[in-house]
Amino acid sequence: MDEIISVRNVRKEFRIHERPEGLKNGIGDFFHRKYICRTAVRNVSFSIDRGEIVGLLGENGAGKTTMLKLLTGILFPTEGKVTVSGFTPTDRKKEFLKGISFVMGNRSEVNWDLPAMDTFRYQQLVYEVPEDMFRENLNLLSVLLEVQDLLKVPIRRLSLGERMKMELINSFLYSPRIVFLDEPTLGLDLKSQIAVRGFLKAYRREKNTTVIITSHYMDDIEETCDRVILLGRGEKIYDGSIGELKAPDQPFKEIILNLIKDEKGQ
Amino acid sequence: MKKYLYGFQLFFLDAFHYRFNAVVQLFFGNVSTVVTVLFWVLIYRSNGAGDINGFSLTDMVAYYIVSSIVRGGVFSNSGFHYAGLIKEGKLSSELLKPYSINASLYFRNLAGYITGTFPQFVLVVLLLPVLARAGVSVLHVRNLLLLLAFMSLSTISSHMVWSILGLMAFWLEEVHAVMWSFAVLFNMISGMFLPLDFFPQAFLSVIRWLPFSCWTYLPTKACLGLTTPGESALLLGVNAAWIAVLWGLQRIVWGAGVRRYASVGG
Repeated sequence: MDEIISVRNVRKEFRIHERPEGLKNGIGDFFHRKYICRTAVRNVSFSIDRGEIVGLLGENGAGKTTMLKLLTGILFPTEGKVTVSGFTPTDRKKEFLKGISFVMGNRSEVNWDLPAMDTFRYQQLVYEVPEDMFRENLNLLSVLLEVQDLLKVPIRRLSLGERMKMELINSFLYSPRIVFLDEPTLGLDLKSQIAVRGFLKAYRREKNTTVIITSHYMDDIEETCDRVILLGRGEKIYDGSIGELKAPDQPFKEIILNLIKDEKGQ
Repeated sequence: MKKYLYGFQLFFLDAFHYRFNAVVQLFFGNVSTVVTVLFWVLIYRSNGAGDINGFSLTDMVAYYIVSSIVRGGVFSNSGFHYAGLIKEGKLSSELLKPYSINASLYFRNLAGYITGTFPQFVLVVLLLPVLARAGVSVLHVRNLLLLLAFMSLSTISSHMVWSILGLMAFWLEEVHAVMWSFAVLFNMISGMFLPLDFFPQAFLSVIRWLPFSCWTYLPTKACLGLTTPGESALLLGVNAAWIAVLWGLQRIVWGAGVRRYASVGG
């Protein structure tokens, strides 16, 4: 097997200011501040092979997004070692950054006032994508996501689902070898969720890209992933197939039920 | 380089997207300069004297008109931009891009300067005949070249100084009050409020060797032909050396700060 991501005994702690409620406590806090140390990821180890689609599953605050930020070099681990494509992500080497993409469901990367095409052209220059490859990728992605007619419309005029599709095009335009998706279907209606999942499956078939996806929607994971890593309070508690995870004798039934409950109540 | 220039172009497109706003900025961009000039006219008239501290009314008006172009090249936005990115967690997207965040921010500010200072350029062009009749020759080639040289250095050194202040947000989170306090100090010692000749000679003999004098005072004086070639060459060299020092300092602060980055906001 061709290992592309390696995570060894990674721990990430955050120092958080604990702010008491009320005016009196607020004044006291101005002079005497209390900090707590929160461990978001605890001694997590795993590896991912080239071409795999892996789901990071867990309840809110389980450490899924922190894990992705460690894998992409946004955060420095407090302890442990992360290697992605042979690079240490926090070194921010150009070759590493050109090979990865991180789609954040709650963050927009496309320019709000301009048509998506202007942002795509900028992306082409930033990632040094040759014109032929740019045209080919843009055509493939806009057909897969059915947005050929929307490329010249200012982003602010698009619906949430259409904007997400533009975010996906923007993130896949330069053919990244590894794609990190953080809640890509967050806030989307059912039709758009299905379109995004369909796109991920089709794209993977086409390009054999490694995909790591976080979601607390079970459907996202079930329909797209080969393998699941379940996180609970920052710890890895399961690493295997989705079928085994859902087996009646698994001890994580409560977490899975909570995730399904969240999904139904979305 | 192309990517930074395209980012520059996107800024222009963005700035002119809202046409009414752009037109209002064009017509009212000179209000503060005109008001300042009117104040000085009143001061000179009420004083009755021909000059104050060696500056005639014509010298003073010429100083403010020319400095209205120069002071826009002080990139205080770099600091506010860095502080905002860090505090709101938006630095994450920048960290993922295979480019220099610093260079990208510099070119964005340069585009902002060119669009934002257009009304001041128009004012200077309109006032050129009046200034020429009063004996102030702004269009001397040597003076214009010196202006350009000083301004090139001032955009870079101000970008560096303000970036270092903005990067304090890695430690303090909220740094606006700190930056506004420095802004007042910097505006004073750069000659933005008053020509530095108004300060005591001992103060001026120190301040002229610091990078701040290059932010308004030196380029304006050079443009008005009030510095000798030898003196200008020496001061250009000193400011180039400051840029090297500030660049090193900024790298150290960035390196230490980015390890503390918490990437808040999901």
